[in-house]
Amino acid sequence: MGVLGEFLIIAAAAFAGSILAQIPGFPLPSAVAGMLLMLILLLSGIIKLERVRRAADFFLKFLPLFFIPLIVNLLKEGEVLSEYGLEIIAIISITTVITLAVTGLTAKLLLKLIGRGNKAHD
Amino acid sequence: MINTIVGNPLFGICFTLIAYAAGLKLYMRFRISVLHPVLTASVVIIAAILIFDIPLGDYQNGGSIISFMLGPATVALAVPLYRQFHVLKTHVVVILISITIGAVISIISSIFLARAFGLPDELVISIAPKSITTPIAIEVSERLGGLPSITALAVIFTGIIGAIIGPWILKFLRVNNPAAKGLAMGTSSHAIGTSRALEMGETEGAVSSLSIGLAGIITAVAAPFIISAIL
Repeated sequence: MGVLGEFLIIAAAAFAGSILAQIPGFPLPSAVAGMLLMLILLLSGIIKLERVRRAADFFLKFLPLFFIPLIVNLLKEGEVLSEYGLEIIAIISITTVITLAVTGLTAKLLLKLIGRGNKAHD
Repeated sequence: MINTIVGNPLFGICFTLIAYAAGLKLYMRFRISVLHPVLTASVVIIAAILIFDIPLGDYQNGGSIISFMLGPATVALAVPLYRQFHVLKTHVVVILISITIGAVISIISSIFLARAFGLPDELVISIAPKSITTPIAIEVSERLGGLPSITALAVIFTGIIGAIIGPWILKFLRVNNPAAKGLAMGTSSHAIGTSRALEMGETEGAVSSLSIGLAGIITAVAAPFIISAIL
């Protein structure tokens, strides 16, 4: 089947994800469900990496391209942007610093604790 | 005549491809983070639509075909996650706890700050998933009632800011462990932060790459609960 088969596997996983997401109370959005399904198939060995690698690399390489048309839709949000644009930039800047700091410090602390734990075992 | 030309889906497709190719070339030439090809391409397209008075719907006849690829592209994100999965095994507890705390704090701090600045709920929701990779963030935002276009822009700005100031903040806080640095970069600023983490070192890049997918999944699960609890 070659590359065609690789695209088919990815499309089928995306389709299965969107069907799963229709189930009432299902906790994940459709594409994320498809991604987890794909991950499970790969980790369990049901699908070998080689069976999807080229198609996956194609989608990943052009990923940024796919959201350009969504950003162009900002044309519809001109009013919102002119009213809240600066606030949005401020919020993003501050919370990105917070997230960086909290994640980095949490990891640093945990690694230190584990390091100490390992020494205690020695 | 003009209407039938721009209304053809191939117009939107060709125009987007040309703008992106030009944006990529510009970025390769100057290598400045703010010249992110998605931003420059979007600015060019928006300017052309305004100048030539092209109906947005006509452009989107082709544009929506391109953005439809986001679904399968999200599924393809399983591949880098699978490739980096061995990294998870080295520090499984540290990685999962750090990413979960980071992702949750990112959502909560965005919501509280957005409300403090008086943003309407629709915008609060649009900004909440900004730290994770664009395709997942858009899906989370759309599902909860946000505006996908605002989310996409917020995600890219977050990545650019994280990539620029991330290494500096981590140095200031004396976070020196390569795994900790990678976790912070990937959890706070997804793929754009990861490209910076790859320049910092191999471990930083690998852990950051793993964090993109994990932070995306954790945020997709946690965001609806956090938003319904706070808003």
